[in-house]
Amino acid sequence: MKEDRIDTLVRTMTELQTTPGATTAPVGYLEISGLQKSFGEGPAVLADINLTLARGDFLAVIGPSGCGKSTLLKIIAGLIKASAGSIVFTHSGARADTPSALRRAFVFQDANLLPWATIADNVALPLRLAGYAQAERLARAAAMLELVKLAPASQLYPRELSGGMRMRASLARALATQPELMLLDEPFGALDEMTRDELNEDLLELRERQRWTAVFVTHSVTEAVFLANKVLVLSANPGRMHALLDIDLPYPRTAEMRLMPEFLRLVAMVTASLHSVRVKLS
Amino acid sequence: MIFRMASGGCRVEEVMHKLKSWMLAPSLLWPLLLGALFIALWYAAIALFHLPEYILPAPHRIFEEGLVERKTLWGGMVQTTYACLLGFAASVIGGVVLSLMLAYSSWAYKGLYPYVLVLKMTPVIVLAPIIIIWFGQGINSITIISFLICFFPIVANTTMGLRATDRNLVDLFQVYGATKRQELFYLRIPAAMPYFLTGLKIAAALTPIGALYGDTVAGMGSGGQAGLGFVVVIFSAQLKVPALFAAAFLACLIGFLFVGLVNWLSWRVLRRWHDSYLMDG
Repeated sequence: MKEDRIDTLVRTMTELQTTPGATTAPVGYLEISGLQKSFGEGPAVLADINLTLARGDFLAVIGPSGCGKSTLLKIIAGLIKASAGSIVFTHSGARADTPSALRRAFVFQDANLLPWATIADNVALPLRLAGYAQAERLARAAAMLELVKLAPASQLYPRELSGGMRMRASLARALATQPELMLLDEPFGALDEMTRDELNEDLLELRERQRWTAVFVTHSVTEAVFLANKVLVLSANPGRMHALLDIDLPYPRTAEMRLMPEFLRLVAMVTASLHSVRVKLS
Repeated sequence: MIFRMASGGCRVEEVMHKLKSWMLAPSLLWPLLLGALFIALWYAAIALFHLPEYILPAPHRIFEEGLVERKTLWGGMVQTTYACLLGFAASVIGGVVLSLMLAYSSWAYKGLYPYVLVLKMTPVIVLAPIIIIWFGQGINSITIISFLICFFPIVANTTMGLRATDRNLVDLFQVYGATKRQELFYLRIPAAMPYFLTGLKIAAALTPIGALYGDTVAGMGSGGQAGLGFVVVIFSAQLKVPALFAAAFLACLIGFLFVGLVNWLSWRVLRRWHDSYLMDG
């Protein structure tokens, strides 16, 4: 009974975000052109980033440490100003009434939860900041916690959860705003591999329901290949686009796919690209 | 509610709590035993060295004389507690307002903080006569003296807490378009709570010192009812040594009352989420 209600809720959300014909024409997309970033008078951290994402794309960004991948993500999020270049969003008409702060969600390297607030209150935080009434934000937080399988923990405090559970709560908080764009900054980097694989699968499952566009920074090749349909390989000092690789694996992706020759071939391809970055640097 | 005081526990927690208080019994027994030993040594010293009462009165004499002077002592205790409350309230309100100013404007921080330090560094003993000239004998001066002694730990800690908010959480609030007001109430203030409460604990321990010292220099005009500090001045002039000891005991009691209250408050606010109360809440 309860399951049904949540499924209906999720379906309504999905409908809200998908305007008719959205499957053929890219409605909301992100276009980055000539992006450059340097801090103060220092050397450039990022240079010549030109990138177009269609609505529904899942882009993984990978590169040696210090290549500016996190910086790129924070620029897209509006947390850091670019030194040059432009970022253009085209939002779908159906969501014109949504405050712009709620159109994109950011998932941080660690769970980044408020330690003094319960999990439910943490998940409801973005809605609270946007001025939603208490009843609605709590209902939506509860639905999201159900979705990430954290409903029993809703009244607990962050320190009472495991690292993986905290990360789920962090995902629920991002999803509670029903974003168009999900920005994820190495969200599972601190977790053990089993938990990470599990969360990767869950993340794709959630995306099947909510259909956001994603930019996912990671340092794991398998993670990038498993999640993304496009992988951007950055070189370092300054971070430039070394390669933009297509991952032609169909969605929905399953855990078993990690063992398929095609998957392993793609992992090898991305690894080779990363390797050539290293060769170029040395 | 984002910031919520942890509410009462469930049954399992209660049972655990009782269990724990039983296990605590030996740790209570030990200091009591030591206290008894101390009192025994006290009597022994008086008998052995023939100490007169004006040097070291016996514990039962302190109790007797305390009863004789009970009206003066009780009145003094009420008056001093009242002065403590006023001084403490002034420190908390003044300290928090000042901290918010210091934390929110770097101009205020650069301009005001040196003077806050000047105020702190000037010994209150030197300032007291000036304060008494301005505000006269009585509770006003006592409150101000008490404030001068207590406010600094609150200001220093709270300011630090408000400024040391986790950078990632600030980013989070920015991503979701939080206003300055929201950032203050939902992020900076709760994040500063552990710091503020630490300042409060130090201030609570200093409060009786402030009130009692204020009393000794400005307690003359307390409207007929002298505080404990002034009572002590009179007793010492009259060489009522046992009553003096009784007054010291009561002053200590006030200190415990204040520190205990603040510790309890801190436990209530922080036990569910802060690492200083790890899982034993």
